[in-house]
Amino acid sequence: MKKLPESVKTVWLYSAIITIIVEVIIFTVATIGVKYLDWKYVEYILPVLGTILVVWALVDMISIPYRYAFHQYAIHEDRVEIKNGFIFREQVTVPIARVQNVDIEQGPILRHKNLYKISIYTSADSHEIAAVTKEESENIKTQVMRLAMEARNAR
Amino acid sequence: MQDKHLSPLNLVNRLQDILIAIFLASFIGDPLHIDSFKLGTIFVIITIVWDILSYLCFTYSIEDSQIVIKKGVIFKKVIHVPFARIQSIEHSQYFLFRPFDVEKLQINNASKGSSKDKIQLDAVKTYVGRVLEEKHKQYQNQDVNDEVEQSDVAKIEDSNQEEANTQDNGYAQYKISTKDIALYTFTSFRVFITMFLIVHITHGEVLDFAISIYQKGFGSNMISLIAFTIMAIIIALLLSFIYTMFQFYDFTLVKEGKYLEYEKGLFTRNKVRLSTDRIQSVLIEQNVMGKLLKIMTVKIIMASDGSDEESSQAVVLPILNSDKYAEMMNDFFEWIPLKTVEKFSSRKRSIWLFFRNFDWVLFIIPIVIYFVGWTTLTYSLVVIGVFTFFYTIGNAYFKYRVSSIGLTGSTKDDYLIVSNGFLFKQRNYYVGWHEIQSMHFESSVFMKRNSLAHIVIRIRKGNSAQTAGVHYIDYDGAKKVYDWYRQ
Repeated sequence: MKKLPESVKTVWLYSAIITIIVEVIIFTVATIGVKYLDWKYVEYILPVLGTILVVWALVDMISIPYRYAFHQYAIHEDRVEIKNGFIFREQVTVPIARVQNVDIEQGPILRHKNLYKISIYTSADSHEIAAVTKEESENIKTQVMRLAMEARNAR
Repeated sequence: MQDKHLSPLNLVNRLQDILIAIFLASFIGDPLHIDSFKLGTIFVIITIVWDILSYLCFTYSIEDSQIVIKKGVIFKKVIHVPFARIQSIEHSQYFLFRPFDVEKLQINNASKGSSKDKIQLDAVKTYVGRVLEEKHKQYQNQDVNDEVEQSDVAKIEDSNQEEANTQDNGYAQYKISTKDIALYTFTSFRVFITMFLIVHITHGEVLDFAISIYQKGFGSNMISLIAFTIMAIIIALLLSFIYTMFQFYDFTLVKEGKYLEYEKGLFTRNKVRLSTDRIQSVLIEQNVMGKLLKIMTVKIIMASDGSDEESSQAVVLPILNSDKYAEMMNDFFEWIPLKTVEKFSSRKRSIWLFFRNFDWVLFIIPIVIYFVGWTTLTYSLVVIGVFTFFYTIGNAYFKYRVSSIGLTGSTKDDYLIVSNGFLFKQRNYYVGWHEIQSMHFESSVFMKRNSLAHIVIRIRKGNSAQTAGVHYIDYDGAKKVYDWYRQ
């Protein structure tokens, strides 16, 4: 089982901070706006909802070390395995023969750290590895696609 | 066949465009202060010209190894579909087209595109369908032959044996009887759901109307109210029966060697023929009524380009008696082993857990009452709350009773049987190892302490995914199933 690169923690930290800032701005503006409109219950709903979301994002931010410690993946000859979660543990297995294609994506924060997000698609669903280095991403892509071709031809 | 056009009857299909054009013109004519009639005429002319142009631009060619479709008036588009990639071909024939021997073909190649890219021949002579079926069959056999050539001798023997087997019990047929259609209608709760939806969509106006008729006709006392309600239900059941009758008119399911073919419908006749190895999963459904009467419904889940129920999940045996279960399954789905070697059921504790997972929502009700005070809103909230409380207790117990996961063996050729329940309907999925797209094994820290786990699998259905899971089963059992999948 491989871990994600260490720098993904920074990426998650940045994205959590950005989320919190955006949420605070949106809900402050919305709450002030609603005050002028004089809607009876909406007045309470917005700040409550905002607080919940911000607290949620904060929990997300605090839990980064845990998430990092428990997000693992492994690429075997015949299957891809992804493990996730500390309290709610989840393991996923995708046989290589079921893989249809592999996508490599990069958002602005990931680009800053020179990391890539990998999505592995079967004909029904998709599975993500949150961040890998550039060479690792190329490795995974070629390895998975090669194994997938082999597995499909063998069947 | 090179660059053929569709049958001119396709223009009949497009008549609705003219209606839409007229409707649109009358809608936007007034606010723009333009004479609706003139605008309508212009719109209709544009529509007719456009339809004729797109008809002229749409051609299809059936070549040796593929079908090529060219379409588009302004943006030209060429679609190539190799026969080897075709999953199934859906035929449907509108009854007005029957005298002209014209039908609609939808070619499913199970790509994961948008529904806009559906490969569809809206109106072609039926012989085109036959030619396509023939080619499709030929290429599928070729596929199998290629495989045999590549693999070792043992496998050839294997496949020979298989062929012999399928020739032995290759043919089976099922024809629906009126009695079965009636049973199918009356044992499903669809009538009540439909009634509820109609009342909901029309904002209760239908209900008001019914009540006004009732008050005019019968006056108002308790007995006549009950009589009226029963009558309304009977009428709804009858309507639903007639509707199902149209849908399942002369339903036939035929199994011939490696192919399954079903045909149904009165006004629009639907026909699908597919190779059995294209079936993603066999699904057996049974609701509470079905459990009492010992009948169930068998469906197949397929990969197709459509997302609608019709092409992704087809009813193949609407009514199946429990005592005929083994026999029928053996006739039509003989590749599915029915014997379960290992089976892991939900634990008793799951009743509480299923209940808890939903019913914490009910705590909102006292909170709302505390803040809002006692109004008519809270009154109805309490009624809904009490009803939900008892309903979910029943639901949790039902889920506990039916949830289980089973294996028919320990190899990759074996099947996983996922059984779960929701809203008093039990669903049994038979899925082969090769058809499971991915498997999730979930267990939280607290669940692990109580030695509980979830198993969730994903199957391809239509052009998206179907999730099937069992919750709160024994940890070791779940681990066993997960290891079976990981082998």
